[in-house]
Amino acid sequence: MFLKLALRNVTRGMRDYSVYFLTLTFGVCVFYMFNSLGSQPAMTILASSDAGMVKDILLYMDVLSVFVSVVLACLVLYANRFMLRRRKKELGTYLLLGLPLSKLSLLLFCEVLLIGILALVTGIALGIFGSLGLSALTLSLFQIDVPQLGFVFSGSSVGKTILYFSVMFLVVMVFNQISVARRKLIDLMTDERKNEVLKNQSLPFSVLHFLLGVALLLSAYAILLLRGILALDKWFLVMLFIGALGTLLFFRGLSGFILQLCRRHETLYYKNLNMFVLRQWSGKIHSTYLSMTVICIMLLLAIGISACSLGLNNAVDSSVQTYISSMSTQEIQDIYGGYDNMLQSVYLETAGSKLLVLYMGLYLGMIFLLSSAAVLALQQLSQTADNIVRYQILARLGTEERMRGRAVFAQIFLAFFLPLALAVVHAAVGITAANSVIAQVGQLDTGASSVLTACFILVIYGTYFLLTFLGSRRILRERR
Amino acid sequence: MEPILTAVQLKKVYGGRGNQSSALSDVNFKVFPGEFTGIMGASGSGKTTLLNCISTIDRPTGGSIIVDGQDVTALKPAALSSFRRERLGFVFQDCNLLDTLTVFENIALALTILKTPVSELKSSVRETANLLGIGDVLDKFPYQISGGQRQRAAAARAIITKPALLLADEPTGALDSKSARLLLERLDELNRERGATILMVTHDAFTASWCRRILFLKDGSIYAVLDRGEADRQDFFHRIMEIVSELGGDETHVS
Repeated sequence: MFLKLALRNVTRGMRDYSVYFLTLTFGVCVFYMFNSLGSQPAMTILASSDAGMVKDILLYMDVLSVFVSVVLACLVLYANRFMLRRRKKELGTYLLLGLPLSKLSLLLFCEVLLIGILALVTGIALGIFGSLGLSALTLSLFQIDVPQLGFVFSGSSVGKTILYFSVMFLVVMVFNQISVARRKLIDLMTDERKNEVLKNQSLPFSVLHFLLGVALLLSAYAILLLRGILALDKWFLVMLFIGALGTLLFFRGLSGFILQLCRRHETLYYKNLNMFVLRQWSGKIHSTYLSMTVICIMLLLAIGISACSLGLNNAVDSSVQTYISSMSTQEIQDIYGGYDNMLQSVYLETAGSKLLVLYMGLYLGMIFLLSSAAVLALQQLSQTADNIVRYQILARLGTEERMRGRAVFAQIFLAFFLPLALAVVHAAVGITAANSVIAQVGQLDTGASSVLTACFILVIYGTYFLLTFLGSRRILRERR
Repeated sequence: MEPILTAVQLKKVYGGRGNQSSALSDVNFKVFPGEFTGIMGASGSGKTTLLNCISTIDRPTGGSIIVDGQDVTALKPAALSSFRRERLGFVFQDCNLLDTLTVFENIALALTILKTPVSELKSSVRETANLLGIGDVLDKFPYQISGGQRQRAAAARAIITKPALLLADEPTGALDSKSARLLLERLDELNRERGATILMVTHDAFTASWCRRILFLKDGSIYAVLDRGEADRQDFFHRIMEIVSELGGDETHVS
């Protein structure tokens, strides 16, 4: 009976659960990919020459995985809290009908379990495809042909993934129990009616914030570019500090600044729903600027880490190439006993450290990207739920569905695009500074690594953006 | 004179097979330009359903509603939106202002949706606001002004587009008596001086006494129609009270 109710709740609420499910699936997928490294053909080849290095890489991945699972657990909890908030009334109704608390907890338990199993299966399937891609990438770094490139299925990593995520689900279930038990029935039933107090920021202040933020950011850039990225002294810390502060003030003031600008441009301001979108955005900013800053910095880390680790790989490659071309054929014959042998041993010598940097970079980069996109998506979805009444008013005034859809799109686009745009600018400056360092090792090819990074961002960030937009539009359509 | 609103054989049935409940049955009436009409009835009498059908938020099950020569029951969703914003004005009980916009912007919103040029927009908003006595709070946000001012701002937003028909659903429901009187005076003024056609739903006899004509609904059909004629508001109020107690009369006999 309970399983049936839970199953129905999950299938019917699948679209509500979509962000929760997606986060879990992506999490499982990335987790599996980086924990199944040991059984990749590239690693087998590497192990043949340098078994110690392989052990080191796997050890590092193990340690990182603990950190990653903590990050993922926080994410899953956050997503879960959002779900509970949206379903408060439903849960309240169950209690009101006389369902005992223990049964309600059991119901939630079943739902989490079902979603979890589904996400695990999908995530591991995706992860198997993902490790195929990772294998291809790794092997292309070796620049040697490996005949067999098939699906890698690692039973032990599946086991490990299931173990880690089961622990996470357990934490979620415990959290659910506590948060449902602590709530009073009256709050569950009437929470929708509680309105947030709206504070409007003073416009001159936000213009000031914005300009100060831009000035701080520019000086942080200047310090970074003039002094380089490796000078780890107090100036570096100062740069980090004013960079972060500048980002914060930038987001704090941006909406007010743009609102002020647009109000001067009356034809633009009083066109379609522009006025509404701008006011919505600046009305919410005092509760979103902090998270926007955090998300921007997470994105910066994601972009920076993955771009630099890929870039460094290419740099090491090209320095190896220089080394080879500096030797005569005779030398090659003397030292390595033939060209092919030389390639094999030279590449394998550098391969270990290259792989370590690459994997760590990609792993962390993906997780940071995943976290920021998921947090943004959930935040926007819950804001949309708060906006239902406002969109209802617009509908009653006779605003067309298309016009409202565009307003929703604009709102979500601003929330997703702005942190990304600033993070890209930050990263561009940072990579320029880092280039001068990496370039000392060898020629740096940022082109290819940037394209690869951009692809990751496009897929993960884009999926979340799309889901958020569709979800928000649906939330607004269903309650009329 | 052509009526501005004609309801013919209006029916609304909720629910499906087996458990049907009829909210409106055979409602017929007409509203002519410049009339100030009230709809009264106890809760459950169908007055909100009637208003929702007229305001195109809901669709009747049978019959037709003709507003300004156009049968709104036959309109497609896209045409409904444009009909709503061009021909109708709304004032609701919970004034429905957008809390993120200033009073000026709230009133202007109705015009920006109609794609009115900015040059016209500003003077038009000022003029309408002055008419309703809220010219001095235009730069404030809704939470900074009183409930009465909010309701008058909503009324300003509703009439600024010069709608053929102004629909008001319990506009005084959330107001104290002083603010209610102020709002009704303004509506009355709009009606007499500007010739605005107003259809107002209320359950309050005092509010209803400002109307020129009142339709009483009971169990989904029209029970009585009361015309004010030359009577003053005091007289009219008493006649309304009589019918209200008549309507409630069934409940005095507990058989």
